[in-house]
Amino acid sequence: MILKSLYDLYERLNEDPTYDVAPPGRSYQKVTFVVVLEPDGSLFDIQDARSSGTGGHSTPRRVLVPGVTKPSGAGFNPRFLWDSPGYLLGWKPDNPERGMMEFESFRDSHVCIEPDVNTPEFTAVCEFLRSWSPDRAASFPILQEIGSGFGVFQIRGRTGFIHEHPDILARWDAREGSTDVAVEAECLVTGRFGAVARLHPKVKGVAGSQPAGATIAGFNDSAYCSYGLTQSFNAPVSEDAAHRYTSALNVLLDGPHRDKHRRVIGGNSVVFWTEKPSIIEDVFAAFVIGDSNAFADAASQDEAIRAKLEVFVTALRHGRESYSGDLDPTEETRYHVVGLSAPTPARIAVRFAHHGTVAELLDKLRQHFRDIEVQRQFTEGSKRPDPEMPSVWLLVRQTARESADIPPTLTSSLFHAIMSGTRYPDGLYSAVLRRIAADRHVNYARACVIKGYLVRNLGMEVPVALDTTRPDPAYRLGRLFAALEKTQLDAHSGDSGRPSINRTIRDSHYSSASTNPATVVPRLLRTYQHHLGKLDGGRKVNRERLVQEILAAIDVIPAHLGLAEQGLFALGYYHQMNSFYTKTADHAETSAN
Amino acid sequence: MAYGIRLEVWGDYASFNRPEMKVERVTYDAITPSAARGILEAIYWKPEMQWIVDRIHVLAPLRFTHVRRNELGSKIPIQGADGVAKAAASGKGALGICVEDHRQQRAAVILRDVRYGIEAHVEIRPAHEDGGPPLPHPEAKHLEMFKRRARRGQFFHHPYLGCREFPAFFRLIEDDEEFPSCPDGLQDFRDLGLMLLDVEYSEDPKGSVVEANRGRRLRATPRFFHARMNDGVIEVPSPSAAWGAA
Repeated sequence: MILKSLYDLYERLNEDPTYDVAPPGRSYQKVTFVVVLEPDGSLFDIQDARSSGTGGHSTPRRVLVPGVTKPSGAGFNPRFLWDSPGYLLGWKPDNPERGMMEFESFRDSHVCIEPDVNTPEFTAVCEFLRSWSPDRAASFPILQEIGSGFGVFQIRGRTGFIHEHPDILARWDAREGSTDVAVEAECLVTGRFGAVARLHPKVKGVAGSQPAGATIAGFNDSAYCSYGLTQSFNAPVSEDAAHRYTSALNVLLDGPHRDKHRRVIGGNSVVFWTEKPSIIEDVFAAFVIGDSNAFADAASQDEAIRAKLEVFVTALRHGRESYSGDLDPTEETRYHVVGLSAPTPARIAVRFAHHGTVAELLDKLRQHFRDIEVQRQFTEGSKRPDPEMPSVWLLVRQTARESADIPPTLTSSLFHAIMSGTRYPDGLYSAVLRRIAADRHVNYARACVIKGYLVRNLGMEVPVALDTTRPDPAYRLGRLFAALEKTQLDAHSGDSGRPSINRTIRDSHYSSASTNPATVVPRLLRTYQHHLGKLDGGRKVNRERLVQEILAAIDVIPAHLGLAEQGLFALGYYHQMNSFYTKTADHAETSAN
Repeated sequence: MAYGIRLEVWGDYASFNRPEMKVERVTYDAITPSAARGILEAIYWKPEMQWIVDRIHVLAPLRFTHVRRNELGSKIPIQGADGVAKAAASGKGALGICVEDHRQQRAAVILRDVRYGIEAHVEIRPAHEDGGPPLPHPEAKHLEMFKRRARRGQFFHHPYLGCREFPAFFRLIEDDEEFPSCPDGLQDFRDLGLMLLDVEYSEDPKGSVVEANRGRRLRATPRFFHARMNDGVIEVPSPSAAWGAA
């Protein structure tokens, strides 16, 4: 299904000129240097082909060249009028002998077809190759900097590269008859009988894969082959279908619009597309998947994206009625999301794959956001407001201190849970509780995860904002803890209003209060009395009233709180703290109490 | 079907690996006809008969999970200096594989909590391969033997769901019973795309598969069909219809 949907996608991408899809037999490669020749074949210069990108470092140019990505292997496989510095000029500083042999194979492969091609430009190249010796390469400083890019040829004074010359291209196309004996079989993508690809073109840009590219249908060891078949004959795909699906995937991962289609999250590359261009496609990656870069920056810079985001968020908030017509030509447009990773550098593994209609997608997303909805801590107007609909990245980021430590399977499990409406992964909840115990910080995203887990997995009713009537002890204890900590902070505030202590009871006692409250809470209540004494008049009365109201519903302080109750504790703490720090809530509280 | 059997199979895990994603395994959404045939053959099979799967019922919602396992990257070769043939001929040789040198970790997306219903019938091979007189048609005999064995839970080897590490449990559906109803979420039409039908073996002097009993060289060609699921039921075309000749 995945290959078939990529195969179908190729049609759409090919027709869209902004996508830069390579036609069969050609590919886009990263070119970093140009060998500029005089018309008679003598060398003029070797120039830098990179464009200066953002941040001062230059990016290689994407150039359409004849031939596909070089296959890996120890043999010699010179390309046609483009190649790496070793083949093109014999420049291979760490292995000069190999560089010499590569250059010779490149030179021979071009010189021997010179009479066939018979074009002045090509003759110039051959002249250059005949007269060139690799040690001259050392005198060109540009070669030291270029790294692993490829080089192409150009005649001085003429625009365009030599390999773009139509006669040369036509001759090359004509010669490219397949030299392998064609194996014919039924293609598993199209169902049609035809010549089958022995090797599929490589896919570049999957997180964790090697720079030269990896394959999905790659059988690079004998243990993977069956029925005596070798390499990609084990999975018969016609040459045309192989080109189409790999081109589509390459364009999604590494093409001009990759920001729209691809996000790397938790070690997986997630690609997303809809069968027809739609607003969802433009905002899904950034909004739903999210990234370490704040989406808000991107949104604020681009008016168009912001407008689309408005429509999308409205659709999520208010349901189907609000968006049919605005969002899509039809609700029935199909979407596909595929998570890829490279557990070994040369092979791509599919982590998850979902497809369905856009309407279903919106339903699932709406359900997810409703399940995790919690009152925000920082609303609009603060320096970094909490997003109303947190992205997958934001939720998953809460499970580890460094983003590199996020367990890779957690991301795909969470994604799967959102897309299919099933239970959230248990690992996500326990990881978040562990982080809360470790750094004693309950923020908006963590509260979202907890609420989502309690609502969806355990079927509980959990409030979005502070619920003063909720009787269950774990929630009340969380609220109590927040009240006790606030009292401690207020007691040490002095005249400036700013607390002067660095460690509160939260730093010392949060973990024990949330797991074994009976041991800790009575002690905290005693010290609370001292802190309470330092507050003045009205505040003291109201605080005491609040604490009494919280304690009223707790009969016995439990000796032990299980995982679900620890989550409720954290939520109670979060809600109560929010209500302390929200100005309007403060006033309401004082007036109610 | 006048002569046919119905079997319900279920298991905790299943993996019907797609050929194109066989290294880092991804499963098809439902049991392939060849895996279904494998389950039937595990329970009862004789060389003169062939199981033809007619219909597959999907009786549990599709649920997936993801595992990563350490496996081997190489096989013990047959030909060559380190091969089995040489060792057998000379009477000595080291044929073992040291795992540490060949370890490969492979990821797999597999199905979990699966339940399928298989409807199949028996076809007797057209004639004796040596060209003897045509056999009488004992489909009924084979079907009865199968039913008896299935009722008693007998099998030649434990049936499995795609891969040997995922055992299948089975129960014969008697004539007066019906399959369980279609589970929620699988109603209406679902297009499962091209699915492996089975592997077709044809004679080929240069083929790389060797037939076990007669030593003929064969070529293995996978055949695919368009799997369409209606209310959880997949109609399976007969192999002769899917592949024109023989």
